[in-house]
Amino acid sequence: MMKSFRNILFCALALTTAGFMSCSDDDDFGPTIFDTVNHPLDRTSYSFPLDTFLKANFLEPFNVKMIYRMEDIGSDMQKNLTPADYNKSIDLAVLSKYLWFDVYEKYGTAEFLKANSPRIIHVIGSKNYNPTQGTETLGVAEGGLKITLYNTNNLDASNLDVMNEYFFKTMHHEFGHILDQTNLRPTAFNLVSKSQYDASTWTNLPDSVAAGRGFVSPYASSEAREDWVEVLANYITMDTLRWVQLLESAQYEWEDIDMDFDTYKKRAAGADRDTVGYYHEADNGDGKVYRRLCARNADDFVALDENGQVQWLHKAGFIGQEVILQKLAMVRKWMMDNWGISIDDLRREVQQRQYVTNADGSFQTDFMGRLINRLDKPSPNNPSITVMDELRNWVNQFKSLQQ
Amino acid sequence: MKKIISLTLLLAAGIGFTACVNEEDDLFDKTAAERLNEASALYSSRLMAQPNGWAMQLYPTNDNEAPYGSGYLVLCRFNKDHSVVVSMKNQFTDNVYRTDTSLWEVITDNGPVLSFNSHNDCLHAFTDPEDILWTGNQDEPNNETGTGVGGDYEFIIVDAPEDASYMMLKGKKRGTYNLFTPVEEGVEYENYLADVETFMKTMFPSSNPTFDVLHTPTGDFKMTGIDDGIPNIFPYDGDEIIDESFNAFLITKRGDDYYLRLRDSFKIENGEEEASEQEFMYHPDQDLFIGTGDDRFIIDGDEPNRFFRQALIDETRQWRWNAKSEMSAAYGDLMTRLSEAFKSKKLTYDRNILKYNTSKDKVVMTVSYKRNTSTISLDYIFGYSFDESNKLTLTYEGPNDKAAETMLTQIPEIKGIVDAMNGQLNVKPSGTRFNLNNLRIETKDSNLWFDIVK
Repeated sequence: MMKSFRNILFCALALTTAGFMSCSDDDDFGPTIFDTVNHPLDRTSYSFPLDTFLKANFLEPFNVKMIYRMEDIGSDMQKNLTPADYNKSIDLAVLSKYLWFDVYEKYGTAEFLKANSPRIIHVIGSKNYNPTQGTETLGVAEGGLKITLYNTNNLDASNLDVMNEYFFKTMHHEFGHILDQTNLRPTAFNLVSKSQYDASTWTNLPDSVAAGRGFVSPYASSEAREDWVEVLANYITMDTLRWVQLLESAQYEWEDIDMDFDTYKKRAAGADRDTVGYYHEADNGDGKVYRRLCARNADDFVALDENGQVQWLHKAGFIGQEVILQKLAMVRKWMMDNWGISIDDLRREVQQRQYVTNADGSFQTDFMGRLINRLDKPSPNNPSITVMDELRNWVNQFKSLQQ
Repeated sequence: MKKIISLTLLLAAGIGFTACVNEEDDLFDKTAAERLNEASALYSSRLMAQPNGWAMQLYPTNDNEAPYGSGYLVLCRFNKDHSVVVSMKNQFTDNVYRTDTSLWEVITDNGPVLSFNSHNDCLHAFTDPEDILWTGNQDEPNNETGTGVGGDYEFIIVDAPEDASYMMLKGKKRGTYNLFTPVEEGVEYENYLADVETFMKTMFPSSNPTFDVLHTPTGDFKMTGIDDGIPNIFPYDGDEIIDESFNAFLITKRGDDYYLRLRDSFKIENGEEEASEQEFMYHPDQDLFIGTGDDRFIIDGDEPNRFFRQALIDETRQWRWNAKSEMSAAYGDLMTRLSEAFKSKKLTYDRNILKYNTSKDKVVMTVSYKRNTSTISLDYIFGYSFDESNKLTLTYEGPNDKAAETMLTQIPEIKGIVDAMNGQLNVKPSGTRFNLNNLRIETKDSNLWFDIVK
């Protein structure tokens, strides 16, 4: 098959060459079939403000076309997808600039963005379900040229957890793929967790168990290339408290035990949950209990040491926390070596744009110790509106030019 | 291998030279891009040509099951700023009128294609891949996560006449045909949808226990389950399951006229006779839907006497009426006298009920009244028979018990009501033949008629 394919390819090439030779006196091929006219934006158009914003902030400076009017031929035609709401598209556009392009431009260069940005960002309104697998695709990066973001219609600036998971992490994740496709990650990275990757079972892996195996997320455990960009994206977007929690969880090795829920309930009542474990029902309905690996007696109860402490065990030969930090170091070096960008700078900048900070740059927390969403707080520049509204005004300012 | 390559090169070069022998003039004076842009502008102008927009008869899929294959009336007005106002009222809006504005565009990726390419709360209810919470049943709810209804948001413009009298659009993925008809200027969308809803509920009530009849040049067909919008249309004497053929429909309003249009053209074939019809206009004077292209296709309601026989005897449904029912003046006098008579005895007349007693195989007319808080029923027995046209004849046989007999003596006005029922009755619809929840009983005395309800 390969041989005949090569012959066909060669024939086609020869034909083209002969054609050019024979028609060498004809240098007029006529007009292109493609529309090359630079159509000015229509000031009477309902979408003129957003179109103008996208042209001024993405297309002209970085040659990036953000398509918010859904094009089904540019999406997965096998899926049922639905377009993005116009106002949600505005939110996503300004947040993409604020938390992605502006950050990279600040710590990289405009040239870096011009050279490495996707050429197309396709914005889809609905979620992208994979019903047979029971999963959901948050975003797609294709050929280093195009990023597709889903679920825009559920974008809610007041809920940073959801926004980070669906959008900001996805932006950096997919952008990471493009950077990875441009300058391939070090081969050594692929070997760090080589024996741990499992593309088929990650959907049922709890976060803590993935962390204990050296992954920043369950999805990272699916394959090396996803692991690579998950480290980058999670490190940049995950707030400090969650990152610390992740590393804390990653100190422990986990085991899973088949157990029905009634048995689990009896054992878990009033007991230490880390040692008893956490009940998790897989997509197929099978229940498992995930628990930290520790010394246990013959009755399967925790065997404390002479000081009354739990004796945590590590049988896998590695500690998840160390693996994650090792991977982070590789990503950090790769970003610095290839593009001169500090991911710590990126992380700090993204976090400070998302969360309320004190004058010294430290983060404020609420009464439960959680970081405080900055986007729905009054803008320092104009306290009568929120930061999010201030960002929206990047688009709304063009309404004055609308006819 | 080298020989093959050399020969191939020689052949290719030959073809290349030959190709330049005759230069062809350009067939078109415009580039493909220019022509596509013109097509987009042309069909955009057609969509905007109706100032008050269009009634879109939207069929998300060709499924035979609601809500996926049901038709939805979606009103849309295409503005010059490329915003579109879309309105509808159905299960997806919790049966509350909803309107939303979004963007539209005629793209040319597959011929001229109308794309509703930013999210609209109305139109994209049929394309969102989310679970539909109210499908299935409580024990086994359907799960549509990942598919939703499964409809299109891009529609290929397959027919758009210059006068913009209609447009036919085909769902890009699902291939359903969706007709656009103009909404007259000055018509409020909410009122339009309310009018259609009222008409639909009047003509095809959900509690309608019967069927309608489609008359065609080759025979009659029953239409069952028409109230849910996807009737089963099968030969009148055929089997509802073996011969099942579902075809969704929608009602639209143009001027004061109501139209019923099937999703798929109804075709008949009998020997050399071939005919089809898809759209019917309601003629209130005849109480019929008559085919707009072929008036031999007619949709009629069920025959009231046949229906009443089935409902009263076979299904043992009870029918009631009281002094407030619609009735003739003469029958009203009977009822007034009856009420007054009960009142004179310090009793309150309640109502009459006509029912079938299966154990006795008799028809019973109950006259009920109230004494203090208790309701007392007096039953009067009738023998019954039906003629070939299903008209019911009642023959009075007497009171059911001593109490009924006594009251007949104490309140002789009861006898007037009983006598009126004695004889042949003719059943008519009190409104339309399509809605037999309300019937009119004509007695042997043409001056005595009254309406009954289930």
